[in-house]
Amino acid sequence: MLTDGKPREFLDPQALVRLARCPLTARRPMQGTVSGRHRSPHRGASVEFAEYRRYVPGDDLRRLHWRALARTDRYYVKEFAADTNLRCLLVVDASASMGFGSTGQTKIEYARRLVGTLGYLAGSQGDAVGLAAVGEHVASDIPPRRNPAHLVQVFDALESIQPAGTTGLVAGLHQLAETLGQRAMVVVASDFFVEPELLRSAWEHLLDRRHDVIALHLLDPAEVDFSYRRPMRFVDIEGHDAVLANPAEIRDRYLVALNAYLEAVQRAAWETSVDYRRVRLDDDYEHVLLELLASRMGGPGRQ
Amino acid sequence: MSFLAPVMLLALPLAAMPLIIHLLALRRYQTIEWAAMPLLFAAQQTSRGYARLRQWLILALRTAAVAALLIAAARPLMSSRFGITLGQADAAIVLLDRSPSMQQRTRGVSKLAAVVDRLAAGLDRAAANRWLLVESGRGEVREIDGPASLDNLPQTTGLAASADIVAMLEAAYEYVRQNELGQTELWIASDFRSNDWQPQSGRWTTLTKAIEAAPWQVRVHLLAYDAPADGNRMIRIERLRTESRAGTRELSLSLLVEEELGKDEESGIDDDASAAANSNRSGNRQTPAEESATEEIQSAREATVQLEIDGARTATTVPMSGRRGRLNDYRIPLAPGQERGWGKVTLPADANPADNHFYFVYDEPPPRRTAIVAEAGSDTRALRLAAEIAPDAAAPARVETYAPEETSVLPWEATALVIWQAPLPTGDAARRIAQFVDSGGQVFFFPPDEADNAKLDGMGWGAWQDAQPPQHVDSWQTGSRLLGPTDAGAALPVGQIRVQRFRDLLGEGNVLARLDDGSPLIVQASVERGDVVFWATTPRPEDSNLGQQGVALYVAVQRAMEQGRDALAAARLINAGKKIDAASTWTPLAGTRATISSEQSLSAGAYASEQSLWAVNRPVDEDAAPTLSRNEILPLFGELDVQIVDGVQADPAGLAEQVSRGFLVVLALALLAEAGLTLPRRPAQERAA
Repeated sequence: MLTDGKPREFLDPQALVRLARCPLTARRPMQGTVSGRHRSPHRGASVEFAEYRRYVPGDDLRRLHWRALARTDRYYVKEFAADTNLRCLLVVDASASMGFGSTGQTKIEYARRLVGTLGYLAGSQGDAVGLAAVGEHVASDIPPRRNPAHLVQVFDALESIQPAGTTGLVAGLHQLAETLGQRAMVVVASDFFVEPELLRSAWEHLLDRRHDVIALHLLDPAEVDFSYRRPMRFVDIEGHDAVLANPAEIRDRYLVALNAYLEAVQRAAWETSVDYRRVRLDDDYEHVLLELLASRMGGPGRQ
Repeated sequence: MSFLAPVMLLALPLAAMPLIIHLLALRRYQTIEWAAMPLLFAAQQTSRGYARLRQWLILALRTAAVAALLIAAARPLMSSRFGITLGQADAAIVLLDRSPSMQQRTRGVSKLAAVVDRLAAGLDRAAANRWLLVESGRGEVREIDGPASLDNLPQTTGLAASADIVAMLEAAYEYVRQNELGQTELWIASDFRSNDWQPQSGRWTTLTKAIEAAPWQVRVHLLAYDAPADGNRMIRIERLRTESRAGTRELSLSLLVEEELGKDEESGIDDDASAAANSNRSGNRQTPAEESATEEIQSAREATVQLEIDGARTATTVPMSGRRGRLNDYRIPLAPGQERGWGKVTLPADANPADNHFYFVYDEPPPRRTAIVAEAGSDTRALRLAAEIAPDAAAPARVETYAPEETSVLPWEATALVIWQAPLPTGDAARRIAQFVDSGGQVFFFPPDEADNAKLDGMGWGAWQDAQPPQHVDSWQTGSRLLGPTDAGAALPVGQIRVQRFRDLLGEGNVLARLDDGSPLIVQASVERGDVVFWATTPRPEDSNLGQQGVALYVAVQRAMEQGRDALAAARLINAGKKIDAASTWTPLAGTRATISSEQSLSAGAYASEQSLWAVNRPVDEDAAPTLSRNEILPLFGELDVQIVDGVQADPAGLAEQVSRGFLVVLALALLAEAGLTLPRRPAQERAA
């Protein structure tokens, strides 16, 4: 499918084959340009009947439900679901914190695997794929397109992302919400070390624009377990602050703060209907994607 | 604050080591780049203030611990209680007990020397505006430069005189009162002997009440050097006389050697040695160890005494019975022509050298001098005869007659017996009589003809009584010295005394003889030394047959004269502390070389004046005085603020130990607090992420 033939480190061909059995579907109706496997927000002439509704002046009379008229003496028209293609925007947090990793791979590397695989799957099923790398600002913004060569461009950009700078994810998401245009599936891969309320507002902004948001919350096991023993000097990866701490003494308070933060993020996702997935870097990414894809294979209303 | 080892203060910068180590340790922390800083800050936020405070507290405690250790090692000196100077005192007065018991030694250092060293090194000059000394010799307050000057003062060496602690305190109080001083620190260094402290004296109550009522604050620090001696013997001459025997003059000494109860009740003889002695007595052959133990027992049961007379030495042994040993009438022949001189008896060195010697002087036998004081025209022939006829032709007697108003020219110090047949003395004459009797003189009072209302020693004359028929002596004390039997055992013919006239005797005394009607004829007054005897009648024929019968009167007079001669001889053996103004002009013959002239009457030794030889020794109370317990000492000070400081000999900076201990306490507390702050917290149960 990729025209350049260049092996990508973040793509595992065998995993791609296994995952291809599960289509990548949107939970919201998409507005594509061609016919595809995703529901269209528009009711149009298609083979799949969707529903009846009352006739309003201006509807196509060819869609008038004559039988219902005969029986009820009221005017109804038929609505049909129109399948269209998906616009998938892969948003990758490119802040310096994504460069952290204690399991042998960093969060950015893991994010590349996740979004790269999703991008490949979307492209292979004819969906448009784009990429936005958000660091202190939106560093690169490649709009979704169906062109296979475009996918190469996306992967090149994905490969070249170098985590740096502070987190500007929230502002970046707001910007993308304004600039994205048509409805799209927005896959955000980040560690989301921002205020949950700010994150909530960004998600709401995206959802207001009728986008389908998938939030992949990447966490390193060290950040979750905080099982250091000896006194440490923690240096902010995104700045210059340093904290001297004895992990044994503050671990309980750290875990309390961590759990409170995760609960807040999860609550924000729940309340905004964001497809939220918490991913540890020691989780098998294929399993994570499989769960994600499988959970989206349900009918309308299934999230 | 001053320091005994100030060089340690050079290491004070080491107190910064905890901070330096902390800074170096920072470099050794494992550094990790961390992404979840917000969570870390959140975790730190709840304890950031405490963590920072705790970190600084730990550093401060470690620095304080190092500094406290270094300061304690520098041995700081402060003179106040608990090492805290509660402001500078107006005056600090040192009361120094220089009595013989304070010369007891431990490890070669006497209590007195240890006290002086400790005060000199341990008291801070800056602790008081002025420093004063009251030493037990003169008992007067003198100003000194500071505690350090105690080391150089000659008035801090040992004396043979007892201390009068309450008098020293009275002098100190009087000085403070007159000079209107403020806060006063009293430092009393003593070994708490009862003869020095006189706990039964009512002066304590009067003095402490006066001090309590005073407007200034007084704090008393008692330096207690009351540890008992370990193995101490003392020697004393109980009697000394010169005698002539077969043309040779001899000294006759009676010695007493006494052991002081020390740490061991016995004199150090163990059971093995005692068993060895038993083995020896059973006749079995002894092993070398048993022989050595036997020698030890024998030496412990005998005291070796060295005698020195005018430089010539000899030695003898005094058998010990229990804690005492006596050597009675030890005779030392004197060389021909050796009429006067000095000597001493000495014990081997032990815990207290001050009681290991006793000085004596000897001189020509005092003359058999009697002074008859009588009104002009009085018939004193019988009395003169009784005194003039000497039993020893080699020692003629001398009798001189004086009028009652001529007592000022009477040679009291050379007179053995005074016979007073005149109205009882009053005024200066009474004072001279009292001094004479106090020095051992003998006085016989015979009744005057005229009326006499005077009293002496509680005794006085009543009215003349005519005894018709004449009365005889009905009873007399045959055990008395005056009227006892002769050396051969023959009773004196006291019962043959016949009395026609006698005068009533007023007052209380020891009745030596009574007449038929119970009236006292011869009464002995109560005096501490010497003897005062009242005769109710005179030897005149119209009064009695004392003169005609002669024997009883003659024997009584001769015996009194002999007693008076002994007292004259003994008068030159004086107790240290007796005030003798001329003592500073004496020439020392033997004794402590460092004695200053003004303290010669306070220091044991032999001295020569223009006319006499003198021997000064410690009072007998010094040998027998028990040590008061601290529970007996503290109540003497009433409600005054008193601190007892244990005497630690050979430790001149003992006072400073209290201050060092304070810093060591700070060190311990700092380390404990630091340990408490650095104890690792038990990690909480892990929560599911």
